[in-house]
Amino acid sequence: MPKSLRSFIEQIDHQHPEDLAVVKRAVDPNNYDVSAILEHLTQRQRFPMVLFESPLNLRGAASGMRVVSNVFATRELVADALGFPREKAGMSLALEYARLERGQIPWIGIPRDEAPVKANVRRAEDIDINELPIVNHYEMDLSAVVTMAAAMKDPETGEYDVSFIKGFPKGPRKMGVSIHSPHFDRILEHYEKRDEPAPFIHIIGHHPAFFLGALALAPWGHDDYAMIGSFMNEPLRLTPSETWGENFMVPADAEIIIEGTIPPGVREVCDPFGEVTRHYQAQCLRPVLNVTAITHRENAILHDVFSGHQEHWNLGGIPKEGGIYNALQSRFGNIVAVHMPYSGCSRFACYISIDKKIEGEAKRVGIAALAESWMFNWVVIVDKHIDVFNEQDVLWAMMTNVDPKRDIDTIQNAYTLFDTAAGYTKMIFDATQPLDRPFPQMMQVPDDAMRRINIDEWIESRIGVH
Amino acid sequence: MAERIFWVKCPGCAGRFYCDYTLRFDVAKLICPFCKNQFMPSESPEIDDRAVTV
Repeated sequence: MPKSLRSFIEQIDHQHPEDLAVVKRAVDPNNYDVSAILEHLTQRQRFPMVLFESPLNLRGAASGMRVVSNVFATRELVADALGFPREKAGMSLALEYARLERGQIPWIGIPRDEAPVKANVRRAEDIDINELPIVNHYEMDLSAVVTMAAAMKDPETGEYDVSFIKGFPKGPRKMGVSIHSPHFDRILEHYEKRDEPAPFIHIIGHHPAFFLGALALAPWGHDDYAMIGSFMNEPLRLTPSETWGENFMVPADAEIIIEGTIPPGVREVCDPFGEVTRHYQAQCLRPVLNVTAITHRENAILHDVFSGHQEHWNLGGIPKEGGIYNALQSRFGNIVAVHMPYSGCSRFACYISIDKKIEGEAKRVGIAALAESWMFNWVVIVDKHIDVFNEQDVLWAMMTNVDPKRDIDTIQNAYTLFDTAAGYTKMIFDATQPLDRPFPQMMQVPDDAMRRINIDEWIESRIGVH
Repeated sequence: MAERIFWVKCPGCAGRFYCDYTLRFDVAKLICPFCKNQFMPSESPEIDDRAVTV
């Protein structure tokens, strides 16, 4: 069986049932029920994938579909999606992602009548976006928002590009769309220069490896469908679209696909929307999608990302940590680990541990890291014995090793996308121990003692008080 | 993001939300996320568009 969202849910239900929560009661996603349940779980530090079996649609009626969220909420679930061992879900998982990013598996085409996503087809006047159980996330959001990936096809190269975007329902057959990836910007510009409508599809639900592949940093002109095959470890199955036939192929095993065209030069008001930074994106003008077809599986599962939360952050951090590690390691050779922590929304902070040999080395690594991602405002360099995945350790290193006069550097007027108080200011914190003067050493239980003691043999499960 | 914003009060429900500064001078009707009222910024009873001061 080809991989799909439902095959992944079955896999988790079978292998890690503790990581799948099912909500059988009817929920109203447009009235924040889904967000409130996910927020309660977050406040309890619980991050199961959550399947909502009876969501209402935007009209408040039974949708006949399901909703799933938190699919990427832990690094272990992301490891499961990539067929990678859970116990290696730290730096090793990020390096695995970087390896997959360099691969390609060509897609295969299948006829429409064999494609599960064609089980239900709506065209023209039969289309009503309001029949979908789209999730309204936060109190200042303008509307419910589709949070998953989309595909466009460049008119010059003929190659497909897949990126995450947001879709704002604006009527039964109309949506606002956030074209904010560099490649989508470029493709839309090409159509607008020709004064032609741009073909566009929303892909709302597929195997999580599909969406992880959509986040890969492919060079311009590469076929993203083939790169996604690398992440799925099998050829992605495509089928002709309803609107453009074989001229625009769509994922056959998706849950829901919205097809439409973006008219050139048209912009309408969209947002606010609670974004990855936990701030709202300001209301602004965005392109518009005129919907030409909606197709979906039987009992379709609308896949949603709980924005500004752990799964949203994993989608930013894991795809970049490995690539940054590889780039820095090839240059310096002393990189131990790289992590983009949740506290920085896995976007604007980066912790790097190094095997420091000479004074001043950390700062060079920090400067190079800033060049690797325009997202970073904060880069913190620590020694090799500090676990960058343990934020308490990193903050301890900052608070004990950093001399503010010498170890904090700022760079002004360097672009970033994100609205934090730092703005265009970048900071490098050298939180490594100084080597150019006597300095205290961090205490440590001897390694041989740690190896000799198997904790499970020493601690009894019940504590008796006599 | 990383753009200048301004806060605006909806003349219909008094709900406050914010917009990209490119919408500040009546280029399009804003949509209140709380009551869906559409209005030009010039119709708002209260706008905070202070610029950053250093």
